[in-house]
Amino acid sequence: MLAGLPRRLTRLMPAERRAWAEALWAEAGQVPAGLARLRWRAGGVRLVAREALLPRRIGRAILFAAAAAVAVWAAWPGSSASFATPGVRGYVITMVLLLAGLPLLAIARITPGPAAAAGAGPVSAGWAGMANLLITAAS
Amino acid sequence: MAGRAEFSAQTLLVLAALCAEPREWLHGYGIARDTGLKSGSLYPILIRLADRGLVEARWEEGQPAGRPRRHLYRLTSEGLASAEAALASTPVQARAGAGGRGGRRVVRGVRWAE
Repeated sequence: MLAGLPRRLTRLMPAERRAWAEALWAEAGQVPAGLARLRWRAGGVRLVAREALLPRRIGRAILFAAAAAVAVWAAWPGSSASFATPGVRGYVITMVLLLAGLPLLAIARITPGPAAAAGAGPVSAGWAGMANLLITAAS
Repeated sequence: MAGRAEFSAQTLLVLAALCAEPREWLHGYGIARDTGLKSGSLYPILIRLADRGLVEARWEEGQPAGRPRRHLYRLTSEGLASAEAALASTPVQARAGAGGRGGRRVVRGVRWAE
């Protein structure tokens, strides 16, 4: 079962990238047995994770932008005659900028390294904030 | 023409290793040994360099006895020009990662401690 694991993991990657992971696995046999080989293989897992998640990360960014547009559209106050309107508009704009900016800030501050993992907290907070905005707008 | 700022220190190490024998096809483990980089760092660098057309890759021809075929890498002509330009403007010493052998290596003017 473990012998087939690298091949299964490699399938998670986009087809055009799989040769790179296969190359890495193929080299593992040349690495001295023991910790060094384990580290080499761990690097392979890291490579697969990185390459498999990158397109999804881009997809998430697009989804986030679409959700932000919907949130603004839903929360944007319709009547400018209302006393609270400018404040609400300011709140909507600030919230969307904050939600979009926090993950970027987290990634920019922490790169290089496990930026995706480090950025996960702000991104999750962003999604929660977006949901909050929509619920507030709906109520 | 690529300059120093275009490449990270780790990428420069890879370029230096490839630049040492620009006509030769090198394999990943050999580059990892030369640079001290771990596989999880080395391969993303090779991928990026290949995406930019600076490195070409191919599989070893034929099936060698006792081991799988290797994926081989070397600089393209554009990659060689970029690497030489970047390495020429590199600070003299760059430090490789934790791995690697003892001693000090000099590759095309780039020197790093291992």
